[in-house]
Parts: sequence; C-alpha cells; structure tokens
Amino acid sequence: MKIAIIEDRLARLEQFTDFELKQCRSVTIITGLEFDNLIVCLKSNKTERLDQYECIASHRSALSNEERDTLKEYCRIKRKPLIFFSGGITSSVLKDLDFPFLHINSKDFYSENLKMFIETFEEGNSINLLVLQFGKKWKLSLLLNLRNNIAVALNKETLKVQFPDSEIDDSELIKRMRDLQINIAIKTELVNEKTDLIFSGDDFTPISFNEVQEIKYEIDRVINEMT
Amino acid sequence: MKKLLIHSNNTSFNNTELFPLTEQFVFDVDFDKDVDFYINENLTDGGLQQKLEKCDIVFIKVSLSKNYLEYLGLRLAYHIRLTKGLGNKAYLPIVFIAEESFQYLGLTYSEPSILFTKGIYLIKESFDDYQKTLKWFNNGRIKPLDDFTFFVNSISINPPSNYQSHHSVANEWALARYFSMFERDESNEFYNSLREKILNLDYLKTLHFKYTEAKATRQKFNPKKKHAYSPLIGGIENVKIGIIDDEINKGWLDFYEYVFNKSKAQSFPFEDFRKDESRNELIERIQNWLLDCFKSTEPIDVFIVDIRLHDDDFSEQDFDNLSGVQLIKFIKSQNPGIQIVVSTASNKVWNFQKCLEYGVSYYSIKESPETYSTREETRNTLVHLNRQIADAKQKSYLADLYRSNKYLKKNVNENNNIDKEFSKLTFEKNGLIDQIYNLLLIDYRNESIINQCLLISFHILENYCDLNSVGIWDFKKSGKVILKNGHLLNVFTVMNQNDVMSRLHLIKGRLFFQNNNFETVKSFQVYDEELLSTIYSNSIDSTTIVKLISVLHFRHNIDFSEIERVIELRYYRSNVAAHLTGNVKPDYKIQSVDILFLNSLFFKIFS
Repeated sequence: MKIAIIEDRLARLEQFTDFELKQCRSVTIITGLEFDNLIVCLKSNKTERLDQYECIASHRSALSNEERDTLKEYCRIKRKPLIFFSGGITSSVLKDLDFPFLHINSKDFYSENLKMFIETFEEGNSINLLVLQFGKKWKLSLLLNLRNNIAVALNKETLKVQFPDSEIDDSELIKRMRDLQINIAIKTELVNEKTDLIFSGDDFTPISFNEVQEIKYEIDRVINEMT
Repeated sequence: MKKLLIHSNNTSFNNTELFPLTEQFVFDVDFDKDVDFYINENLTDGGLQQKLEKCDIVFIKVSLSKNYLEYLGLRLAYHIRLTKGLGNKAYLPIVFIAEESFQYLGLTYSEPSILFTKGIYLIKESFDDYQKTLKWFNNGRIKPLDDFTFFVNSISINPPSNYQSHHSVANEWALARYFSMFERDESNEFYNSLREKILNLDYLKTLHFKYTEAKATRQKFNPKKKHAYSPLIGGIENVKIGIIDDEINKGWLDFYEYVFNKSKAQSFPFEDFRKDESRNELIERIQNWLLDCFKSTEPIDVFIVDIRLHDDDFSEQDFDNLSGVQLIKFIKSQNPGIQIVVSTASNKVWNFQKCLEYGVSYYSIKESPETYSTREETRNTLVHLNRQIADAKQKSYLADLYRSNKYLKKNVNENNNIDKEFSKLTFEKNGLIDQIYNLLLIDYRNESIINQCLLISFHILENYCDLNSVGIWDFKKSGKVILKNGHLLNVFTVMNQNDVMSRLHLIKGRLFFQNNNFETVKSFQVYDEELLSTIYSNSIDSTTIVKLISVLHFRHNIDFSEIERVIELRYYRSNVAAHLTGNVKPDYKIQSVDILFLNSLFFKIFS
C-alpha cells in the first residue's frame, strides 16, 4: 500500500521539498494526466482507484468543493487517513472522529516532517498523522494531552466532592487503567521501575488516586526530558 | 462579575456550577474552514462575539483540540486582542487554563509572545485556582490590557506560508488599502464587484492581517473625507491597457476594471495562469498572447506588468530570470515604444534601476504593511500609480511611431528610386530616423532633445530636397522640381542688382513673408493657372524654404495647412533649435507632437 499525494502544482512540491519525494517507493504523486483522470472519476463519484492507497494527501485548492466532499465521504466510509494541505491554511488541525483528517499548511506539509512520516510508514506500515503534523514532537503532543486528561479527571473528583449535586458521571473519572486511554506509543515511554507494577495490569485493573498521581509525575518527567 | 469559558469539552471547568451554559462557548473548528477564518467569523458575526460582549473576564483552555500542541487557545487569544470590532472587549483579562507553565508554553509554541503581555493570566485545571482567580478579579488584582500600542509592539505573528513572501502580503494589503481610499460608489457595478472581491480576500481574515493592521497605527483603514479618492485617469479614454499580473484573479482585475471604467478605458488582461506549469511554459504562453496583442488591428501599446509571475520567481536570485523581467525584455524587443508600467510589491531600488535599463519608464510599488503609510501617503501612492498609467498612455505614441518607422524602412529598402546614399544615412540602423526615435525614447518632454529632433528632421527634409533625383537647383538661373510623373516644374529666382535680395518665382504659386521680414515665409498660395509673381528674399534661408515648399507641394501633394506648419517649424528650427535669435516669444516650446508631424510627412513622402 502506498501514500497518494494529489498535487496540481508540481513546481511547489519541488520548491518546498529538500528531499527526492518522487523517489520514495511508498509514495505516488498524482499529477498531470493522472490528476485530470482522477478529477473525472471524483466528479462522477467513482473512487475505486483510490482503494490502492493507505492514505491520501491532497492539495486542497486543486479540488472543487464537490470533489473534496466526495473524497471526504470516501475516506469516512473507508476510515482512511486524509490530509488536505494548502498555502492558505494558517494552523494545522487534526481531527479523528470518523476518520483521521489533517488540515496542514503546504510549507509544513512539504517539510522534513513529511520525510519522517514516510519513513515511519515504510518502517512500520502504519499511518501516523501526528508525525506529519509535529515531526519529532509527535509523542509530546500525546503526552500533553494525557496529562491534561488526567488533570481534568482529577479536578472532576474535586468538583464531585464540592458539588455533590452536580452531574459528574463516573465515566468521566479515572477508575480503571483503560480510563487513561494511553496511546501504546507513549506507554512504553512511561514504563519504568516505579510504574512497572501500575502498568502491569490489564485495561480493567482498578487504579487508585495515588497511582494516577504517580503516572502524572512520570508524564511530567518524560515531558521535561523531551522538551 | 460576568465571565466566559472557551473550551472544546476538554476541561472540568465546563461544569455548570462553575460556568453556566450561557457563560460557555464550545470551540469546534468546522473542517471546511481554516482556523483563522472560523475564529474570525465567530468574532465578527458569530456567537462568540455576543458572549464576549457580555463578559468581564474570559477563561480559555490553551488546547482547543484533541491535539494539545496545536495550542489553538493561544491563537484565539491573539484574535480577541486584535479584532477591532470587539472594541474595549478586546482588552478583557484572559485567563489561560493549562497544566504547563508560561515558560513551557513559551518554549513549545511558535508564537508565544502574547503570554508575556499584560492582562494575561495562567491557571491550572484546579478548582482552587479557579476560586483564587475569581477572588483576585474581585479584588482588582486581575486587570485588563491597558496599553494596546505597547501590546502590539510586544507581539509577533508570522504570515501563513503562502504569504511568507513580501510580495503576497503586499498584493492583498495594497488592494484592500487602495480600495479603502476610494469614495463610495455603489451605483457603479465595477465598484461593487471590487468590494465583493476584497471582502472575500483570504488574507484579510488571517491573524497576520489583523496584526499588521494593528501594528501600523498610522495606517487607519477608514479614510477621512479629505483623503477619499475618485480614481479618474485623464487622457486614457477608449484606450485598451494590457495587464500581466498573476494576482489578476485575486482582485487586481476588479481594481483595474473599476479604475478604467471610471476613466472610460478598457482592461485587457492575461488571465490564464495555470498552476502546474513551468516558468518557461508560462513565459512562452504569455509571449504568444503578446504577439497577438501586437498584431491586432488595435494593438495594445500600454501594459501593466508585475515582475514576479511564477512560484519559481520567489526563490530566483538572478533578476534577469524573473518571468516579468523576461517579458519586459520581450515586449521591448518587439517594439521599444510600447510603454510598461511595472506594478510590483518589490521595493528594491536595484530592481527599479534594472527595469529602467530595460526601457521601463514607469514603476509603481504596491503598498505593503512595512511602509507604514499614512492615509495621505496611500492616497499619493494611488495618485502616483494612476499618473504613471496616464503618462504611459501619453508616451505610447512612440509605439505607433516605431511601427510606422518600421514600415517606412521596409518600404524604402524595397524602393530603388530613392537615392542610396540618402537612404543609408536616413533609414538604415542608427540612421537619422532612428536617431530621432531614440532621442524621443530617452525623454520626449526634454526641450533640448526635442530641439535636436527638430534639427535632424529638417536635416532629412533638406537633404532630400537637394537630391538631384528630386530637384535641380540653380536659383541664379532657375530651379526645377521633378514631379512624380516625371514632368518638371520651374522655379525661378531673380537677383536684385542693388542689394543681396533675390526674387523667387513660383510658376503656380506665391510665397508671403512676415511683415517687413523677408527671411521668413508666412504662408503660401497656389493658383490654378500659371502666374508669374515676384517675391523678395535676402538670404539663402528663403531659398531652402522655396525648395521645401516646391518639393512638398508640387512633388508630393502635401496640403496647404501642413505646408504652413512646415514653414512655421522651419522658422523655429532656425530661430530656436539652431540659433537662439531672440525673435521667438519666450513661452513657445517645440514639442514632441511637432516631431511627430514631421515624421508623418516622412511617411507621406517615402512610403
């Protein structure tokens, strides 16, 4: 499986990339005649030719609103990662509701992060849009998120005591290991002599307030090391 | 105290005991919109603006998405500070909610400066912190931003990547800025179309635009009445003006169409800029378009050209390789008289100098935020641009002159009847015709240059009249003008024996001299029948006049009014251009139209 890059402005691709993107074996650049053919297909809602790709990245302005909608609907159904890049995008935003969907600025897309993203894909055959978005800092984003989620859950515990009548559901609190929703990629960073025992249980193992605090300290430590 | 919490369902503070739902705004970027556009919409017309208007303090979660490092809360805070429509609410105390320290956020966010400005506070996701904040606010320890100018000078915002070149920002900035100077003109469809285009300019919705607009405190966007400008360019009525600008479809065409519509002129743009095309391909297609423009029965003689037309131009180090520069050279190689107004965002003086070297006479720099122009300066820039276009139109007669000279040279080359030596001296490359043309190219308004052109023009005429194939002159006996049909016309001179005066006889005409001055012929008359008349003259000058008139009228059928003008110009040639005799009123200046008139005579004589 390959990554498709739909680009109607090859000159820009060459302008922004310092590496030979065209030489990457896992990347197909859809441009020129191939691009025209794809547009014809998208116009008539035919998306089969995209099945061969694991992930689709497209220059946003190369497609009309209708063509973009067709592509989004296709990725939603297939749960296939989709990237829209454009020079006019001011901040990159990743959403992962129905499918992983990243909006990113062209210059940030055609960067060292893309090289790293492709290498990661080639090594592990998995698509990780966070690598494309944040490069080497992609784990940091997950860690910060995790730390925030823990802080939110812990404060909800406080609020539950403070406002007993307020509707705070147990599902919003951290009672079991699975409630932490720790991404496997960062879990390995957090496991050490101190936390080994905490992480040794399965998802349904109960977790105490002190253990959550212990994990939070560990997260703080790793975040500081990474920064 | 009225407060507001902005979050994306990723905080414990959204508990209604802390913030009732009316005091909450859920930030949820619509994925078909850019973040800046989403924020801008909500702050100008949306629910967020309404909620901010009612509150005294705003709490913002630093992360407003699932990916923490996006730090969209910080970006939103910049927008709140810089959105003019919020009035004083833009200065509200902003309390960020994050587990990170100021220092940490500063290290990990690309544009952290807002964190270190007044009116910004940071608390953790903790009920204690929340309570302390409310207490401090009520005690007056938490304060709004008090010095906006200081704030703006303390922060820094980078443009999005496709605006990272100075060129792109200036293009949209200048457009918005120039439009803001125009008097309201809603009855004009072109004005409305331009306004619509500007309202939809992406750049104007970005944080970078808000930042640059705020930073340029002198550059208010709503001009005072005295600066309002009605874009009327004089002297370009019915003229077609070519436009080569890659930003043409981003509002500049609408700009020129409005300005030209007001001036009763017409724009003729190259619009087919394709995304996936090499620079050479683009240049080739524009060159073909230009050739069509030149071959047209109504050729375009004025072009507005931007010097950067292709993505490659933004990383180009060699000025000569810029696509616009290559096109300038191409245009000038086809016809050096075609006038080019370079309209560019480049403010580099060496670019301007290079353009001059390549024959560009007019250069207008698109205003950019960095110029910090006042309203009056913007108005002057706009006036300057329009004046440049008007001047270019005025000078574009040189394009027509070039075409007629080219035709003339070709015709003379094919005509064996014209004396070879005269032909070589006059029409070959760098000959007298070229000398006149090149002098006009240098400066068609310079008095000395025009005088020089007049001398050369008469030099051509007089040389021609002296050719044996045109006339045989011996005024002591008689002169002969050889007519086109080969017949001879006799011209006699008779010497007065008492003084040096000579009598000139034209068999079918008579010369009138100025009062009591036999040096200068005033007018000339032709009779249907032969009539011998006697005219007195006291110098060889009158003999030259007689030669000119005889040849122009009797050999080439030049009409009376034109001959009278030749007589008049001959007088200025002798008394102004060649010798400052003092006989001419001091306010009279020979102009390029006079040279053009003589050139038109050459066309009649030699074509």
